[in-house]
Amino acid sequence: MTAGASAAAPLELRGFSAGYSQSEIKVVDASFTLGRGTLTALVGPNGAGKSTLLKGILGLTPVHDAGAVRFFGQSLDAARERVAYLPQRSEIDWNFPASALDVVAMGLYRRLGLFRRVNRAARDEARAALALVGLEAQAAQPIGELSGGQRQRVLLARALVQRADLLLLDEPFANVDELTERTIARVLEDLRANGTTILAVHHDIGTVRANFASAILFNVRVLAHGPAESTLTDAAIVRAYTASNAANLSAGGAA
Amino acid sequence: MNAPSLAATGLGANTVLVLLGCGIFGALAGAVGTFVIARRRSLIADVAGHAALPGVCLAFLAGEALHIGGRTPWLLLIGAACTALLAAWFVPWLSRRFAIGADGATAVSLALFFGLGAVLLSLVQSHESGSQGGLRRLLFGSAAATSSADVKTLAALALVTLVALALLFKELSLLAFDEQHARTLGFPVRSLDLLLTLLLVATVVAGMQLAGIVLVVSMVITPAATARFFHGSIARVTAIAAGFGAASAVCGVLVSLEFEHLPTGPAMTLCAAGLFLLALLATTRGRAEAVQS
Amino acid sequence: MNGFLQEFVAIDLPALAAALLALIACGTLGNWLVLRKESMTGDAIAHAVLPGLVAGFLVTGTRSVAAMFAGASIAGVAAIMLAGWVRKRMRLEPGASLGVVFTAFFALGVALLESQGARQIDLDPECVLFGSLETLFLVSVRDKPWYTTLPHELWTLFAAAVLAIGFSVLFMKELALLAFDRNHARQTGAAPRMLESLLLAVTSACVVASFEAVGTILVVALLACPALIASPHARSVRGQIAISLVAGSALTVAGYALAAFAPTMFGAPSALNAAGMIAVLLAIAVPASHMLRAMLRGA
Repeated sequence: MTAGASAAAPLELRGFSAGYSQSEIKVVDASFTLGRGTLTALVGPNGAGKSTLLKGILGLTPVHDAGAVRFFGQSLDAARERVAYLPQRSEIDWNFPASALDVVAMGLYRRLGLFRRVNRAARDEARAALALVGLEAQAAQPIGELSGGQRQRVLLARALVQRADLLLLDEPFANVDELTERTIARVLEDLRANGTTILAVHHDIGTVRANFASAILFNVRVLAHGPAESTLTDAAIVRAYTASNAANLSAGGAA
Repeated sequence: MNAPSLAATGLGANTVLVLLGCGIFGALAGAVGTFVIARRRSLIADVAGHAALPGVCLAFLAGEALHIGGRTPWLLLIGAACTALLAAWFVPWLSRRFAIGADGATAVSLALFFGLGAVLLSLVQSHESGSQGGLRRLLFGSAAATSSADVKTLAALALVTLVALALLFKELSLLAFDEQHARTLGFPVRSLDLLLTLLLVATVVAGMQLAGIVLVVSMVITPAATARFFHGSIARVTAIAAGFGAASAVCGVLVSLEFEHLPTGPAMTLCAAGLFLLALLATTRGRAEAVQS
Repeated sequence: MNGFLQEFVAIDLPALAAALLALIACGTLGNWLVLRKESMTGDAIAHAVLPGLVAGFLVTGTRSVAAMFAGASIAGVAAIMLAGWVRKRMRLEPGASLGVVFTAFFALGVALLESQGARQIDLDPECVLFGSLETLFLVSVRDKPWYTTLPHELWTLFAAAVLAIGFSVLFMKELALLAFDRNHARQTGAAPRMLESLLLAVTSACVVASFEAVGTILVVALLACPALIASPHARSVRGQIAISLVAGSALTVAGYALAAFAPTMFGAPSALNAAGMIAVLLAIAVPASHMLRAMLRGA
C-alpha cells in the first residue's frame, strides 16, 4: 500500500446518490469526508434515507453511484477487508438455526476463505469478540433465545471480528436495554480511540450528544456536518425534521 | 385412447358444445385469476387444483361403496370441491398455526394433498380394473372424452360462478386491491375472502375435466398475468383476462383435437403461455423503442 | 420366509434404496431452500426440468444420462431466472410469476413426451407425477456380479446423493451465510449470485436424478418436508441437516412399508403408490414435529 493511500480519508463521498430504482432515489448528492478515528452519528427523521445511504455506500442498493465513494482512497472492492457493516436487527431472520458463536464467526468467513472450516483459532477469536460485548456466557445459545439487546451485541461482535478500520452501523442503539447501550457505547469509544472510523445511523436525537462527538444531519441530502454540539442546533433539527424543505420533498424521500 | 377422437367426427354439434363450454370456463378462470393474483394467492390456487385429486378418488370409492357407480359426475364434483376447499383453508392455517413460512406451508400442503391423491388413485385403479383410464384422464384433462352431458353441467357451474363474480365485483375489487380500505369501510373482509376462495374452488372443479387437475392452475394464473400488460380500470383488466382465458381454452381444445396424443390441459397451458410470451415481447420491444426515441 | 426374503431383496430393496437415495439428495438440498424461504422454488424446479430432460433425449437420441442431466439442469435454471425476470419486469407477486413459468415448462415437457419422437423414451406423464418405484427390480443373472444388474436409476441417484452432500459440505459456510444474511455475504465480497446459480444448478440436477424414480410429488415433499421437520429442533445448520436426514429416512421406510405391505394385510388386491404414501407421511410429520417442540417447551 502506498503512503498516499494509507493517509487518505477512511470514507469520502462526492455527490453520491442511491435508491431502489431510478424513480425512487432516496439519497441525493451527498458529500462528506470522515477522518481517521472519528465517531459520527447519522441523524435524521424516519424515512430520511439514512439506512439507504449506508447500504448504498456499500453497494447493497439496486441503484448506487459507486464512483462517488472512496474508502481509504480506494474503491470498495479494493478496500473490502477494511470495512464492516452492522445491519438493522429487523433485517435478520432470528429463527435461523445458529448459535451466537456461529453468527460472530461469520465475520471471519472472508478471511478463512473457501472450503476451510471454522477452526479452533477462529472460534477463539469469535469468543473473544463475544467477551468484549459481555456475551461470553451466551456463546452456545441459539440466537432465537437471545433478548433484543443481546442480539444487537452479537451483531456488533460479528462486525468487531472483522477487525475493520471503518465501521458502518445501522441503528446500533435502537430498542436496546440500558446494559447493551452502555456496552456498545464503551466498545465504540475504545475502537475510536484506537483509530477506527465509525459512522452510525441514530434516530434518537436526545442521546446523540451523549454518545457521539460529531454528527451529520441528513434528510435525503446532507444538511449539516460537524461537531455534535454545534451541528445539532434546535433550528437545524427543526429544519430537518419538519421536512418542509422543497428540495428534500422534490427528491421524494421525506416522510 | 379408448374414446373415439372428436377430430375424426369433424366439427359436429358435440364439438361446438365442448368449445362453448371451454370458452365459458376459460373466461371464468381468467376473471377469477385477476383477483387471485391481486390477493397473492397464486400458489394456493396451485395447491387447491392438485387437491381435487384425493376428493375425486374418495368420491369414486364412496360411489362404489353406495352402489350408485363410481363415476357419478355430481359426486365426483362434490368430492373435488370438498378437498380443494379444505386445501385452500389448510395452507394459511398451517402457516399461521406453526409459524411456518408461506412457501414452506404451500409445499407441505401440496405434498400432503397430492400425495394422498396418488395413494388413493392407486387404490381406485385396483378397483376399476374393467374401466381403465377413467380417473387418470382427469390428471391432464381430455376434451375428447368429455360427454355433452358433462359439458352442460360444467358450463352451468361456470356460468353461475361467473354471475356471482359479476354481482360481487365491486366488493371483490376492494378486497383484492386495497384490503385496508375495505376494512376501514367496514366490509366483512373475512367473508369476502371466503367467497373468493369458493369462486376459485368452483373454477378449479369446473375446469378439471377439460384442463386437468395438474395444470388447471395455469388457466387461473397465466391469462390474468397476461392481462397485467394492459392498463385501465379493474373491470377492463378483468374483462381482458377473461378474454385471454377463453381464447386460450378454445385454442387449447382445438390443438389437442388436432394432435391425437396431446392431452387438453398441456395444450391449453401452452396456448395461455404463448399469449403471455407474445404480450411480453410486444411490450418489451415497445419499451426499447420508447427508450431509443 | 425364505421366499419372502428373496422377494424383498428383488422387489422392495431396490425401491427402498431409490427412495432413500432420493431423500439424501433432495432432503439435504431442501435445507438450503427452506432456510432461504424458497421451498416453492423447489416445486417450480421439480416441474420445470421436464422439457429439458425430454429435449436432452430428443437431441441425442439416446437415453444418455449426461444429455438428460444437462438439458434438465439448463431448463431448471432457465425457468427460475425467467420467473425472476418476469417478476421484476411486470411487478407480479412471486407466486404468480413462478406459476406462469413452471406450468408452461411442465406443459411443454408433457407435450414433448407425448410427441411421436419421444415415444421410445419410455417415460409416461403419470410416472413423472407419481414415480415408478414399483418398477425397480433387481434382476439376478447367473455369472454376473450383482452390481452390473442394478437398475440404472440407482446409480444416477447415488451420484446425486454424493453431489448434494459434497456440495453442502464444501460450501457449508458460504451457503449458511447466504441464507442467514445475504447483505453481509455481499458486503464481505462473497459472490452470492454465483453461489445462488450453483445451488440452483445442483438442485436441478438432483431433482432430475430423483424424479424418474420417485416422481414430482415426492421430490416436492423431499425438498420441503424433512428440513421443516428438523427446523424446530435444530440449533445449528449442520444439526438441522442431520435431523432432517434421520427423520426423513425413518419416515421414508415407514411410508414404503405402509404402501407395500399394509394393503395385502387388509386384503386389498395390490400395493398402493409408495411415493405418494411417503409424501403424505413426510407432510403430516411437519405439523407433528412443531407440536412436539411446543410440548417439549411446555414440559
